Amino acid sequence: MTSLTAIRTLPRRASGAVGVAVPLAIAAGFLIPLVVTSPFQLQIYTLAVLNAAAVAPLVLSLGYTGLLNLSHGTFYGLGAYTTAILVTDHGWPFEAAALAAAVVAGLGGGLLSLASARVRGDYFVLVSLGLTIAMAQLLANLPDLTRGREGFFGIPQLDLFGLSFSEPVTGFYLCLALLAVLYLFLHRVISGFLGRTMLVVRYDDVAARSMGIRPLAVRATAMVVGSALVGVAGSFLVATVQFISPADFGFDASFMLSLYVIIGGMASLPGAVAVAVVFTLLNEQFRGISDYSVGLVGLAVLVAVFIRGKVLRDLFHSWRAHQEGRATDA
Amino acid sequence: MLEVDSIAMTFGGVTALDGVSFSVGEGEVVGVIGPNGSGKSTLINVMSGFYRPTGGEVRLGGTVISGRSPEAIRRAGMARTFQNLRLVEEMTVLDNTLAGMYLVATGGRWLTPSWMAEVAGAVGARRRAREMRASAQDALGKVGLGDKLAFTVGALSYADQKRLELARAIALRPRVLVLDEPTAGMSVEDADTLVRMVASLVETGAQALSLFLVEHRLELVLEVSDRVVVMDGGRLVADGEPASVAADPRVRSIYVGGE
Repeated sequence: MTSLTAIRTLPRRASGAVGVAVPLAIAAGFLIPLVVTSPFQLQIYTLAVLNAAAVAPLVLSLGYTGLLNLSHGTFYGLGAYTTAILVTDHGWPFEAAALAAAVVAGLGGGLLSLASARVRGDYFVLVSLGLTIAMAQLLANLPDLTRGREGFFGIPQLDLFGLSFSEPVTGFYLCLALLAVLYLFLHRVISGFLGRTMLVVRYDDVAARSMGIRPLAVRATAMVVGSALVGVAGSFLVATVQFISPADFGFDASFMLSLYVIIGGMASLPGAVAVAVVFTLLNEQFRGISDYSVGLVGLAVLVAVFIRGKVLRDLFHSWRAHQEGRATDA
Repeated sequence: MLEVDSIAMTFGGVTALDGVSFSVGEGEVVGVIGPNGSGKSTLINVMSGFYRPTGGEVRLGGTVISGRSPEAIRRAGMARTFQNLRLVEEMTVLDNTLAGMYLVATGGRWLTPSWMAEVAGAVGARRRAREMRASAQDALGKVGLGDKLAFTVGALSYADQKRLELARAIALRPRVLVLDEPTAGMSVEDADTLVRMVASLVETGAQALSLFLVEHRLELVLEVSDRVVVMDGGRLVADGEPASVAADPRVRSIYVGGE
């Protein structure tokens, strides 16, 4: 009985281990500037951390409510462009611009979630895809507002509460702090009742409604909160790289962000964060393999599907059962 | 408590329910029997808001609930189970039970200040979460799943999954509990134990609930019910005390001829 329980709870314990390792890794990340002295290397780590911070909020809508959201990169971009426009053309301080970015991106997410009341599954993906493509076109074709296709130049040096993003070490710490705060917040959200209700909505609308849960309200909450948070990550991106272009927030960006969540195990915050960091580092660290990165991602998706499809778990189970059978015979 | 008043339901010309009327009093156990296709599940789907009736109305505590959403009817005090299981396989037994309980505490409101309190880990929110957990464990203990809290649903036997659905509904502390064949797939002994347990919840007044029980095992229904209604072909053909229903020749003909 005990070993049976051990097998049955194995997936939970395995994800539990990742759930401990990733927060520890984030904490350990604060030591990186002590080891890595090259500003270029540090910039790579900063981008990896930013990517993780951008992916993390997507776990809410895509991972937990199962909404096939292919517009996360668009809300990232909405946050980034809102910040860039406000700080460059209107002289807003970064803090206020980041708040505005959260509001604009959150509103965008809320609007998209309304579409989920009308269309489901594959059709929602099409709506989401349409929004992503339309928004990239819009950003490219509103030169007075966004500087158009060539991208947004001339973003000033920015700082958060006096800490400058332009100083590599401080910039790294700011982005890592953002990741830590988002991680903690999202972890709290999904480990409580919100996470449970979101999971019920993901798997079964009818069961949810019989328990008094309104699926649309839950999906809208996940979309608004997730989009607002990635909007803030967009602000940090603008402050870090001081240049953005519409191409950064097109279909490719949204698609990659969604893949990170899928490879990470759908409803797994630590999984998504780990995958985002590893892929960004691989891509940037070894420029040579970036040609193969699409193939690499594809391979990882296959592996993830095998795990999600419980193929590996079933193999493990039959192996354990076999072992136990031999133990009993002996 | 619950009044079903001349409910009719047609699906594109096919009549599934035809003028069904009955009531369930406070603290009463009403059993429903009838052959397959007699409209029992349709009736439950109408009562719980998943179908909008084409005629008549359903009242809960004097308020008309027919035509309202399933969520609103849940808020009004009804909880139901499904004949075909509707559990989240990836979640644990405890989490499945807890999923709807928060909304009971907030009166069905989704976003409340306690939302942020829970995320922030405030003391009051943590106490509430502990109480909710204890109450979920209590419900699971009643159905005999007290030692399987951390199991994922996929690892449970079919009978245990049926038990879990029941616990999930009980944990919502409903005024009216509607059970659609809660013992299908269970052994005779297990089914007896479970149904007697639920009936005792009502009798002992442990929870102020009324019970509406669809169950195809005639002897069991006759034993635990205060009243039995019989359905056939979308109509209510008998409604009375178990003894008189059992003696009703129409019931005998349905059961002898039907199954």
